[in-house]
Amino acid sequence: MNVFRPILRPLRPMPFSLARASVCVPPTTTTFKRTIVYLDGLVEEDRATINQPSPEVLKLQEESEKYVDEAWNRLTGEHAATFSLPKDLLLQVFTHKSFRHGVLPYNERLAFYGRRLFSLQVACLVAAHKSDGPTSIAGRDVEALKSKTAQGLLHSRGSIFKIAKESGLLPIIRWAPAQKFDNLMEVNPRTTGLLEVGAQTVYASIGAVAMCHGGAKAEQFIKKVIMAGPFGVTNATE
Amino acid sequence: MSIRHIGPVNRRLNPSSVSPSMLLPGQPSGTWGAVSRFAVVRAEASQRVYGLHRSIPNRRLYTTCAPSSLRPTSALLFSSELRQQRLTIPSVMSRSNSTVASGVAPFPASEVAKCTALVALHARLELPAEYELTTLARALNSATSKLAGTFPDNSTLSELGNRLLDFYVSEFIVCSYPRLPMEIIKEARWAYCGDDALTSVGRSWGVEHERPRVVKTGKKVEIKKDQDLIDYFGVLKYGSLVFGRVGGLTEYVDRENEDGTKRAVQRYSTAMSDFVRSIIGGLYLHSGREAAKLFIFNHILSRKLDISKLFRFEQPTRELSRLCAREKLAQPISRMIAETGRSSMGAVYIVGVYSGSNLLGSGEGRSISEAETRAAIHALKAWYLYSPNSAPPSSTEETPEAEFQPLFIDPGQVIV
Repeated sequence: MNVFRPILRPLRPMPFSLARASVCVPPTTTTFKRTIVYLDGLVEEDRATINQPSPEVLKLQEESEKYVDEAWNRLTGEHAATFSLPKDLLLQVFTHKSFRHGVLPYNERLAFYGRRLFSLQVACLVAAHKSDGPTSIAGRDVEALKSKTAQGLLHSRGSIFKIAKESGLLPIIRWAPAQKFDNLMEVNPRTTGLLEVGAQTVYASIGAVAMCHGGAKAEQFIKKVIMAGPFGVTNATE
Repeated sequence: MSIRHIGPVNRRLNPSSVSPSMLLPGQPSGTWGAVSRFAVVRAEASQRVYGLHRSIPNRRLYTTCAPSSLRPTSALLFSSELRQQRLTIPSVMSRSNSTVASGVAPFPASEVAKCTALVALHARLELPAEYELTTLARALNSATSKLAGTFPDNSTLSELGNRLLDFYVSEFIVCSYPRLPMEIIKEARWAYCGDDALTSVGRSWGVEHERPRVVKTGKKVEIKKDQDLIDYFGVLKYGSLVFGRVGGLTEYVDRENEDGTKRAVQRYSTAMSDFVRSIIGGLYLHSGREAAKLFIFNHILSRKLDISKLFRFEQPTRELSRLCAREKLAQPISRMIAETGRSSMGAVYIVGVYSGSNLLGSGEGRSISEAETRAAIHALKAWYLYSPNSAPPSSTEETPEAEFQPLFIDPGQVIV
């Protein structure tokens, strides 16, 4: 033990690499446990870096990439080329936090951001309504924000979930439902969490477009795909 | 020193993690190894606001009330000149506020312009000239106020302002710290633009509010009919909760309108925060989104918030272990860096947590487990508070043709 004392704890501070080199003596020449602890760490590091996913996992990933790509094209329609997303980000958009206990990238934060962007867009679109009434400000009437359509778009996920349902995104979403479903289209979305998960995917798509292409393009995405697209909410201001 | 507030340590996952006699020389605590995916916590990062602040020459924090010369004094209010101009509140004012008013008339611009409190507030907030005083008067008129049926209220204005505020604050948090856990994002959002924060902002602007009156039960709330309406435009009006003596106890009592219907009530913090939101909504309508954004950055996001203080880890060592497994880093191992006074009452240990040969974080403590926990917490905070200096998506609103640099998108927080 005393032999190694000066090596482990030098009087003068020395650079880290030098210190490690002096400590890492070959394990065959020593029986002290403390040197083995160091080597354990290095072995773990090596093991972690060479770890490759198995062929089955790779095949599964390829398949889901294909499905997700098709779903995205269905949703965006003619604007698919404008709002294209990288493969891994697209997979993240379609992955819920519950899928495989959150080990894979999931869409929670994208949805959080996308929902706020969407709400702002709806509010701005409604506030752009020209009017000269007693409640108007600067020639625009914000009282339209009280309308049923505007309130529905701002406060409920129903209309957004409808987009996910009609464009066929629901079977593609990777999540872990609490119950087994026979047919995803027949279950009650409100009691099974499908509403939340489906709407979150659409909100996440808005967030992903914004973070990848910028806010201006995300506004275009909301107007062209979410509002006026083939599956979109037709008009925010009735 | 107690470590109860840090949370329990799960030592089972790393049985060989701390060995007291294991000393590692030479490495100063707090430096980082080659694991570039971790970032050093920047103390100043929470103050950085996309460089937007730098363009504002005269940024101030409004912490005082209006200068006394601008505040309406009682002498001014009760001067004979003003008394002659007093308006009688129309009898419509006391009707129920539950429905959207159809007989709502716009604020009288000429009368509103005479309200000194409004003029002073307009000047104090440095609102642009196109921001009308009638909009300011509307922002002070809550949906529960006595004037809500007579003049337009601020419910839709605050809804619009809320959307703007919520978006820009959330974007600031999410883009400044792309790895923050959702709970911390929501807490930070609440700290910036929650009701309490906005109330203190509104109060610091020197906005006065209608005082709740103490009433006796069985008696109707007395409202002065000839109250100066012009003066009334300048205070925050809302149906406040009032106290009264009921059977020997002090309780909240219902307030009634003149026709006997119950008045809607609102908390002070809700009314005041809605007023602040309405100011932002009005700014958007009068001067556009860029002006509203600048206002939010000046008045809301300029307030200092230390996000690193919001964290509370339940099982930090376990969470760090999961994080390293997910990121395919070597399993984290705690090692003693230095210690003193082991057999004394004032022992201090400094422990570093390592992934392979890279130091992720270090912490000190009175016991080994405390130091180990602190080290794991520091490592996790350094991971979660990573802050790249990139332009947010909303920076492209003005120049849509400009090329946008895609943001760093994090896979999500670690689920333990």
